[in-house]
Amino acid sequence: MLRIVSLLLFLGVWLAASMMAGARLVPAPQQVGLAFLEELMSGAMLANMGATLLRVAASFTLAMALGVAIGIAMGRSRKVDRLFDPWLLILLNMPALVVIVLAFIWGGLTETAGILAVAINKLPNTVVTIREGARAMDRGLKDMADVFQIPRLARLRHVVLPQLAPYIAAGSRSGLSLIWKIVLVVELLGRPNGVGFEIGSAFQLFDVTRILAYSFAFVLVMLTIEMSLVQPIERRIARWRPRQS
Amino acid sequence: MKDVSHAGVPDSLDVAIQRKAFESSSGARIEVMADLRFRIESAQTVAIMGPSGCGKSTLLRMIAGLDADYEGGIVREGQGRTGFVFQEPTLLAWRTVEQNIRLVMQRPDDQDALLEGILERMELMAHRRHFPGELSVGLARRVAIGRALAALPGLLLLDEPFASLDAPLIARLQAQLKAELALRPTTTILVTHRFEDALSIASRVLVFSARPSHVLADIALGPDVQADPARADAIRREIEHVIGQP
Repeated sequence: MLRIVSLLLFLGVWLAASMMAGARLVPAPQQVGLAFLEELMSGAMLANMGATLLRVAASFTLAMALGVAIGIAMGRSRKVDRLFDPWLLILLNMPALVVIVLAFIWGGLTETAGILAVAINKLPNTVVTIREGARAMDRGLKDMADVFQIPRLARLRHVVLPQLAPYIAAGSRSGLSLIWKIVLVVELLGRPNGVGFEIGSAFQLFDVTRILAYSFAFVLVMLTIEMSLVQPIERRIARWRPRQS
Repeated sequence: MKDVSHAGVPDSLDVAIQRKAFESSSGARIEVMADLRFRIESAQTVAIMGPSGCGKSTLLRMIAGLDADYEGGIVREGQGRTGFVFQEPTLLAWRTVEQNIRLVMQRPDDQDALLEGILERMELMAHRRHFPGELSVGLARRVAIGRALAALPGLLLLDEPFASLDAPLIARLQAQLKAELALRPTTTILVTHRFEDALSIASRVLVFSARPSHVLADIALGPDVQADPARADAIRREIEHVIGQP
C-alpha cells in the first residue's frame, strides 16, 4: 500500500517539477511514456537494450569468474595475498573513466576493449569480497575433504562454493548495479549502439525526453532481472538454512 | 605408503615419533610427544587413553596426514583410505544427510547398496533428506560415523565419538559400530577418555603419559575381560592410577 502511495507521490513531484521548469527541461511523465512507446515501436529500444544487456552479461561473467578465482587464491594463501594486495589497491582506487579511456586507447574502439574495461572496473571489488569469504572458510571442512580425498571438482562444488555463496551473491548484487552504470559510460565514449550511446546522442540534441525514456526503461529491466533472477537464486542457495521465525 | 597389492586388507600402522612440538601463541615451544612408539596390526581395534592435553587428537591428525610437522615416521601399509570421525560432526550444512555420505564414497553414483545399508543400520533412513541443521547432536554424530564407514576405509580414526551423548545413546551407538566393524573388519583407533568406551569396542588400550607423551601401558582387552566385570574394573582402576586423574 505504502509503495503505491510512494509511487504516486513520485509521479506527483515529477509532474509539478515539469510544470514549474517547463516541458523542455523536465518533460511530463506522459511525454516520456510516449517517447518510450515510439522507440519501442521503431525497434530502436529493443536493439539498444539488447546490445547493452549483452555487454553487461559478458563483462559481469568475466569479472565474476576472474574475481572468484583470484579471490579464492588470495584468501587461501598469505603469499599470494601479500604479492597482489598492492595491485588490488591501485585498481580499487583507479577511476572508472581512466580504465575505460586507456582500454580504448590501447585496444581501439572495439567491443573487446569495452567489455574488458568494464570487467576490470568491477574485478577488484569482487576479489575483495570473495577473499573475505575464502578467509572465513571452515578449516574443519577442509580437513574433512583432505582426509576423505574428495576429488577437486566435487570439493569445489560441494565444499568450497557453498561456503562462498553468500559472498558471491553479495558480489553479484553490488556488481550488477556497478557494471550496468559503467557499461553506459563505455557506450557513451566508444560504442556505436546501446543505451549509453542513445543517451549520449540525446544529450547532444538536448532531448531530455529520450534520456528519461531510456533511463527508466533500463532501470525497469535491471529491477526485473534482480527480482526474477538474482533473488530466486539466492533463495535456492539459502534453502538449507533453518527458517528464521 | 600406499600399496595397491594390499587392497582389501585393513591397514597396519607403525608409529615412531621422536618429537612433536607446538609453538604456543606466546612463542614458547611446547613439546607434546617424545619417543612415542607403537604398532597396530591389520584389523585391530585400539583405544587410546591419556590425560587431557597429551596430544591424542593431534596424533590422529598426524596419522591421517593432516599434520606433517613432526620428527619421526608413521608408516602405513594397506589400501590407504582413511575414515575419520572428528570431534565435531564436520558435516556440510548445505547438503542433505544422504549427499554428505555419498560425497566420500569412491563411486558416489554407483554404490546405492552401500549407502542404503549404512543408512539402514545406522537408523538414518528417515533422515536421509534432512539437512544437518535439523538433526540432534546424536544423529549428527551418527551421520559422521556413517560417512566414515561409507568411505570403506582401511583405517578408521574416531576422535571422542561418544562425547556429550547420553548413556543409552552411547550404548546403542557402540553396538552399531561394533556390528559394522564385524561386518567389515577395519583397523580402528578410538581416542576416548572413558574406559567404558574402550572396553566396549577395542581389543587393546594404549595409555599415554602426560606431555610430552609416550606409551605408558599397552593392555589387552579381550572378550574375556568384557565378560569379567571384576577384572575390567581392576584394569580401569589401573589406567586411572597411571593417568593420575579419576
